[in-house]
Amino acid sequence: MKFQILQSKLNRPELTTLSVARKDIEKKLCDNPWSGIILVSSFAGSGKTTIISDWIKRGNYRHIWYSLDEWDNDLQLFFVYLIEGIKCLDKMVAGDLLQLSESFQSIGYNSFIRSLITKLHRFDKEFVLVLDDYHVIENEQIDTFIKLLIEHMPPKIKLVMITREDPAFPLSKYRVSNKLLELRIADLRFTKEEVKIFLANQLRQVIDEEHAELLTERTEGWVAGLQLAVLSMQGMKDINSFIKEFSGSHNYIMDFLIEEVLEKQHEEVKGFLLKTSVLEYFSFNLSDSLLDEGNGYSRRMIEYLKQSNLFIVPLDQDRKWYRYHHLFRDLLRQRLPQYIQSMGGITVEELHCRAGDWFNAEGMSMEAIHHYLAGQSYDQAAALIECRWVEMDLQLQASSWLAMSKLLPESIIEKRPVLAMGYGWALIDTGDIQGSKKWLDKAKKLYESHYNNPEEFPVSDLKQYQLLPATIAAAYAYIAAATEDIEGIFIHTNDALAKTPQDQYHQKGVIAMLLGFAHWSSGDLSAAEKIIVDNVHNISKEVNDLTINSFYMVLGELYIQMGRLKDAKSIFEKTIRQVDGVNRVPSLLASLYLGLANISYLEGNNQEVYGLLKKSKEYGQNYALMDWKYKYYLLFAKLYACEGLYAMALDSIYESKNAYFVNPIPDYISIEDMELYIQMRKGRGMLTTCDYLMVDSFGTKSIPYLVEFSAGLYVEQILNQNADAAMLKKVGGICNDLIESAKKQKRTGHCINYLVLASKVKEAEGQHIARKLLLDEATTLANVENYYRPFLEHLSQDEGLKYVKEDVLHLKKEMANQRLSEPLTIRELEVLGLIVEGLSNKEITNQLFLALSTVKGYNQNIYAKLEVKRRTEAVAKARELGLV
Amino acid sequence: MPNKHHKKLDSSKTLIYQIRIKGHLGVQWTNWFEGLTVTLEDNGDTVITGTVVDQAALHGLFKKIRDLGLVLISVNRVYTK
Repeated sequence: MKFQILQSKLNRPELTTLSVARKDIEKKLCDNPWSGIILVSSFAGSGKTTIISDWIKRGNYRHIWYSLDEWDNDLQLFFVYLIEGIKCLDKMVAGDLLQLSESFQSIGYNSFIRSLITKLHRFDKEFVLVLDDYHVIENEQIDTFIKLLIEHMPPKIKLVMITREDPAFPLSKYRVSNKLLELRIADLRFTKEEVKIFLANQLRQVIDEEHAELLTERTEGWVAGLQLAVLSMQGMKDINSFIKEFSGSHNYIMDFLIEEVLEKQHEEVKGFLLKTSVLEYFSFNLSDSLLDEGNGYSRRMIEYLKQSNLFIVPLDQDRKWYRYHHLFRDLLRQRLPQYIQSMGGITVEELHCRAGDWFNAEGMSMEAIHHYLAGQSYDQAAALIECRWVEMDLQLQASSWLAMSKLLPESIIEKRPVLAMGYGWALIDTGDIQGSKKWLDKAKKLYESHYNNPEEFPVSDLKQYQLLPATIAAAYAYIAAATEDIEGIFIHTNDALAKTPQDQYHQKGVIAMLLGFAHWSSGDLSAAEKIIVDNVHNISKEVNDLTINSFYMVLGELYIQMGRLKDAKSIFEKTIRQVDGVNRVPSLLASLYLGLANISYLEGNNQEVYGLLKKSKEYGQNYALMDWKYKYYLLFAKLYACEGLYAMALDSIYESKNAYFVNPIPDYISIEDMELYIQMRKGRGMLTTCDYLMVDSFGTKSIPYLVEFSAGLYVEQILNQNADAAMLKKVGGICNDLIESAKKQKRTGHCINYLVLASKVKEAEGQHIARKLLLDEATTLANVENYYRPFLEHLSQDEGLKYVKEDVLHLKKEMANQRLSEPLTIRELEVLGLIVEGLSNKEITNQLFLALSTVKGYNQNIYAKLEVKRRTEAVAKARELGLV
Repeated sequence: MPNKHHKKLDSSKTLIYQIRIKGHLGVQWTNWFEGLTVTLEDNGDTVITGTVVDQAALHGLFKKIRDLGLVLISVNRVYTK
């Protein structure tokens, strides 16, 4: 991750103390339990930050203080800062989180934030996490993270959110939980007594009851108002008449007071305050460059502001970075255009441009983009936004990037080929396939019109410019894949591969995989194998471990489909060793163990499958690829179905459907296929007329790879119906077709399956010799790879077992469950497992990321089904029955 | 960051809003509220009236009001015939 971060944003701001102890509020803050949430929601200038900062200082609490700015809506930047903050408390955890954020792309946002929260639960020392100015956050993904954090609040953390408006969270729900402390306008407001103490301390003057009353009423106890009033009254002999004067005025109080304060300042100070107000935070160096003044100028001015107590806040111990009190800054900003109008000189836009230049030179691109946009320097902003594309795209942040680009005028995007291409890709990533074409075509046309002279148009990311033809071809290939245009995938991937320079390993790798998947979907597994093997070979030394290991995993999956179980097993085992050795965030392990479980399933070893699934789950509940979960439950469905546990199999199908995630690996058996299979086995389901027609429609043409499984079901159904000779002949023909194309495409596993199926047709036809020949052929093939599942699936149990070398042990737990009058669901079994491990309901909610009410619901169901009343009884009963 | 370039005025649905705020604002505020009319009323309120492009622009206005700690009294949509 390449972010220049400003460490000062992570420092607790040291504000001028109020010199008024606010014991009642501090007591509330201390009384709020760990694992609690503190929401400080009130308007600008009401003293929110001061209260929290003082409390942390006095209590000497360990803390992370994150001052948010508009650009922290960038998801990546947000987590970079958060992890940087955690680093100060625990280097190990921060290291883990950094690795986790690097695998962000493959595990997906939801897994990422869950893992992050799980890590936060491991903290054994208490700390306060402060998010200051949370109202600037508009990114829904960040909101989602905070909401999830609150639902599963770690035991040693207090979360403080300081904001000008209530976040869109279910606050009333939090209130009921008694963990939410709210400090609102009424709590923060100064009482008359406090106003008196405040004035006495600040002005060394005592005011009488009447004037204290007037001042309190007019400022409504507003801290910033009182502070401005104090500044206005400094050195004044007759403060009473001042108070009278401004109490009588109708003017907006801050407007009135800031005018007073500014009028008292020297012209130079006034100019400095107003001009620097365009900055969110500033250093001596930055403000010197903004004002075009020599070294030392700003240092002098800032020293003066500090002494005069003019709302300046140092952001770090070394006094390198400062900001103004936000309300004060906003009031200054509001006055700036008029000041410039009357004084002449540099415009507001120019000020922003200078700030943009400075941040740009320092490598702080998000700040630079903000200022360039504010200064309407669209070319400079566009240049920086263009350079952010690759990385934000990799981090799956197309929508944030798009939002930023949309702030540019279209005319600017239109003349930059790389930016236009990025815009097109970002639209694809956000699902607007139709809209993307226009921009991709535009980028292509721009490039083609001038490709010899890149200086003809503005390009800042030269590398992306060189890659442009390839990237655009890849985009077209992606569009073809999304619109299921197989021919288009072949055309555009080949085009993209031809156009991608030799040294672009990662890009070449990804495009080659797309081509591999296209072959795979069409059933040509050998062609897919060749592409994937070559690909892995070509890029293995050049890309990162995660990429290469995930390519190996895909290859393993392919070998399974080809029936090459031994090759698949060795690849999975090798990859597991590699991942395990180096990666502290092993996001691939869940899927790799699932791959091994699939192999054991095909070998017919149910007990081993069960063990491997358990292992897969152990990793998967922490980190997993996005397509892991549905595949995990899908294998459970197969496993249960072959044990005759149909209700549980359907239950697993239900879970699988809930977790479905679109992914490029073709599903030979889809969730829907499996559901139908189970229904048929259960004796209820029937192929619909539609399925019949689909299989029939291929007639003499060969059956497409992804329809083969349905064709197999069709054959089974005909066999179950005591069909006549003509029908048997027909399904025999289908079997032959299936066998033939499986042989041609070297899919041994499928071939064994279809041979066994064909033997059943022969059996129905009474042709026993033909039947034996088919089974012999199947056995010969099966013995090579221990691929015995088809025998168990299609033959009677006694006969099937003869073909399997090892004994197949039945799943005792599941059998025990089936004996209950109402068996537990798969989810209930998971919860029961955790109860038996001794986890409390709260711990279970955090482990499974469920709401407490849901977990309680599960408990009630479990108790009812086990016919017990208490948790301890449930544990005992579960053990007695052998459920766990 | 104000987005001035993607605003398209839909003239068929001109939205006029009237926003009432507590306290009098100075003349320089007209600039701040980008072309809206600022009227000071005798009762001490300020009324900001004018056309907003869409709901997003209206919320942008609320944000400005929020950020300056102004007290919002009422918001009315004015229908023109």
